[in-house]
Amino acid sequence: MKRAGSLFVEVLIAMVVFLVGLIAVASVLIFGLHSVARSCEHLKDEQSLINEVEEYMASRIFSHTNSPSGANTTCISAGKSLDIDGFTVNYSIYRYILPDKPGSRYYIIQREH
Amino acid sequence: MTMSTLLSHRSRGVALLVLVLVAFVLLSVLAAVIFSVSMQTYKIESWQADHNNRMRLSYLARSSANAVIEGISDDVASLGASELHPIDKKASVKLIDADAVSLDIEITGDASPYVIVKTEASDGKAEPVTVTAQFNVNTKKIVNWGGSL
Repeated sequence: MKRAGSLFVEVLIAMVVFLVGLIAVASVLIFGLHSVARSCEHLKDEQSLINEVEEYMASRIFSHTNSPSGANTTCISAGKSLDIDGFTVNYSIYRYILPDKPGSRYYIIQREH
Repeated sequence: MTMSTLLSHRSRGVALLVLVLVAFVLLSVLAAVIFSVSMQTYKIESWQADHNNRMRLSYLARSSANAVIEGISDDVASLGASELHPIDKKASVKLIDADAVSLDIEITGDASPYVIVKTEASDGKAEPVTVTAQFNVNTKKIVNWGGSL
């Protein structure tokens, strides 16, 4: 038996189902765009950290005097010594790390007198 | 057969069916695109994680080679090297507990005038990174860096 307006209701239901899917997809895309925008900032911070490490390495190789410095640097181990078959090297370990991205961490060994 | 003919006869509900099918196809295409983008992102993230690990090991290997060379530079005599008695010193050390990083160090050469320091940093996850530095004991300069930097 045909009821008046039943097609309209069916179409409405289909549209609601479609819209729910569309909204879910849109929210995923918006989240993805936010992530991309954030990753741009993270990339800049990370490159800046790598530059710090490279600058330290370059100057240390030439001067043998400077030490790691800066807000992202911590001495995690000091006063250690390494025995290489009778040849001893005293050293400290420094860590470069981004506070909000612990995965980006680099270590440096520095000889101490 | 026109749409109005279709709707006025026995084919009631065909519009809904078409709409649902079109919606299904569209959502399927969108899902496939999103899945593909996610997989690409995952691959890039994995590559970046590997790259970070290798960078971490590379800095450790390079800085430890430089530290050993600084020690040699200050006191070459303690190596006890000569052309007749070339150096062959080795050591292994576990450096950073949290990252399970270990370091193998090797000093070779005869100090007339070169000493070669080879360091290999590994963490059990990424491929080990090996660095060699050739040091001239007369000029007290590193003349060559090599290895998988």
